[in-house]
Amino acid sequence: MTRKLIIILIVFICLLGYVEGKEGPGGPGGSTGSSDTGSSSSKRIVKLDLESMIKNAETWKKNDPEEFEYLKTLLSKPFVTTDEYRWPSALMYYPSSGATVNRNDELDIRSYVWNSNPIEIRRVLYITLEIGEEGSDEFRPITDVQKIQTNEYDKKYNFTERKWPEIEYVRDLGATGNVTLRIRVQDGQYDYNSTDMSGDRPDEDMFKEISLVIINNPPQITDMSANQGPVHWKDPLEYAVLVEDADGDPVAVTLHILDEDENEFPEPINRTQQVIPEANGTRVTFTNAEYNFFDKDDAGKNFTYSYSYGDGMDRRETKTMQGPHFRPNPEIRVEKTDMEPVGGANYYWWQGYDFSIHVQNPKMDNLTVSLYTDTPGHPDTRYPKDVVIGRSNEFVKVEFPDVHPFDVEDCDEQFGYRFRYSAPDQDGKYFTENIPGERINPKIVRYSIYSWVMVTNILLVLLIALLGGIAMERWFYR
Amino acid sequence: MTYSYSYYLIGLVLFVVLLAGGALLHRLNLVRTYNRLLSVSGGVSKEKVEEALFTPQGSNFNAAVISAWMLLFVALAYFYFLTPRVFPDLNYFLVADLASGPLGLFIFGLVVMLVVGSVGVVSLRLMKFYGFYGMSRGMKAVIMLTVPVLMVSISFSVYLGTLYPAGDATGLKAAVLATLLFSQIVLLLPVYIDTWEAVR
Repeated sequence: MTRKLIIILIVFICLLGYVEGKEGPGGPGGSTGSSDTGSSSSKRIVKLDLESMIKNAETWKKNDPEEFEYLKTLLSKPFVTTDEYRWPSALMYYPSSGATVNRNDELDIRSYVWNSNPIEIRRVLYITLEIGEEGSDEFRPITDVQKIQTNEYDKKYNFTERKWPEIEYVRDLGATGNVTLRIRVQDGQYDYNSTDMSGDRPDEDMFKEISLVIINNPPQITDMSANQGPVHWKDPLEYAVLVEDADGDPVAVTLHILDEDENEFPEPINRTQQVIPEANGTRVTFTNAEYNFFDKDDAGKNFTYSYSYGDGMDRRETKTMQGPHFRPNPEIRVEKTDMEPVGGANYYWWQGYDFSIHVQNPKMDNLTVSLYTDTPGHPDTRYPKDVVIGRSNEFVKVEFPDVHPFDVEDCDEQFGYRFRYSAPDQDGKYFTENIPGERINPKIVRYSIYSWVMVTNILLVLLIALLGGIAMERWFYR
Repeated sequence: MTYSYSYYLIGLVLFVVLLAGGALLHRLNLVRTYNRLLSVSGGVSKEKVEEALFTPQGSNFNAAVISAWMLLFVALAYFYFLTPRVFPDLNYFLVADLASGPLGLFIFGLVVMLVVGSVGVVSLRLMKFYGFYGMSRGMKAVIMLTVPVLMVSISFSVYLGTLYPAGDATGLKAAVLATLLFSQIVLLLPVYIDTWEAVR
């Protein structure tokens, strides 16, 4: 605009110079700048350079602003409107036939503008893509303004096209559900929409407006993992999950740490991370080292957790998972577990076995220690007699003497054993790990043939056979 | 199949063949005798023939024979089902509570006798078959002697059980099987002798 004004001023000054040449130097508003004056007997031609003209204009603007404004008004070119001016037509080109689209679908949508006005009266057009969402009569712009210059049109058919660079995928529309797209056209004087056009051109895939049903693919969460425990509260803990979103939307993932009954705490423990998932998913982790979820007061407690996640359109929750289970703080120390067969290391099933464990118990008045034996035939079987011990700052040997934990079913099987106690040990556990024992001797008959037990058994068989014979003969065969 | 298994299998087959053969021959003897009487005396019922042919053998003999039959099956059970040697999935030691107790062996034998006794009571006719044969005192004595022979067989089987799983003890097994089959043959001897005489 400024350049136009300057050009007009130059023309005007030239005219003034011509007039001044006629009136002689010192005419009204005469130039004070340098000028070359040609000599002639009847008229003088004044040549002005651009620099002195600009200086004159600046002087006028400063010294006589009112006159200067009048001069601007006088010299400005009025907006040309003629009765012949016709509104340029604008339609949207949408080659896809589908009205239902996913947010991750590519979106090829353009504007086609026809301007049949002669170039002399064409105006610069400003076009914008607008969207109207379901339940609202309002349309809002979703693109920057595209400018179409007067000389951009095809010379033969008077049309031009525009593709909005910011709209490549359906998700770039920033909406879901039923939406309507249209073009807004402005030329400085008129402001209208593609919906004002006379009709569609379906054969050419051009429409006044486009209605789409946009489906959002909600984000997915898989591969949830966490340290279930039992673990120490100081152990490195990590909640991890794989986040995916087919639309590539940013996903807000919130970890909810809950109590063992799957309820939120009075002050909820929630942490959120924003991720833009990659094509194969992005692993999101929440570590205790970073977020300090737990402290020493949580020793011995059990927790559960779940996730909620959303992409701004859909929000979902996972089921609640177990973990972590924290070991309690230790109250006793245990060591030196032992097992010895009584009366020789034959490991017969009928043999007695001495089991023992050393326990240091400085805090508990009544610490109960239990013995469990384990065979395939009798898995994890508790010995019925527990041992109860009092406080002791020293290690005390807790003994289970002459235990007969096996029977004939356990022959030729490997056995194991473990101890349980009523207070947490140095590892925060209430039990020892299963301690492997020996293979039980395959001999199945406990007594020798000469033993009184075997003789008694055989004689009893004979006795019953004879008595049975006599009884049956008397009762049934007489 | 190992040698040991075939050994047990042959013994079991022999036992079944002898038992089934005895029952079959006894039946044939009855039919043959009935037909002979029928041809001589005309119309007479089968029951009356059986009644007429029945000879009481004495209470002591009957009681001893019943005991012997029960012990025969106890001996068979001890030989085949006492240890996992023959039937790993079907033997006395799978009943751990019973086998682990001091009187388990006796209870095992008692159960066998109860089963055999029950079958004997139900099939009275089968158990009465000694009354159809004329037996000398010597034969009766031999039949009654099967009781101690079967006790020997049972004792050997128990001894085999105490050795398990060590040792093959083939000789001992042969002895058990021999005493078992010998006793069975002796118990069925009247049937086989009668048949032999009829054939001759």
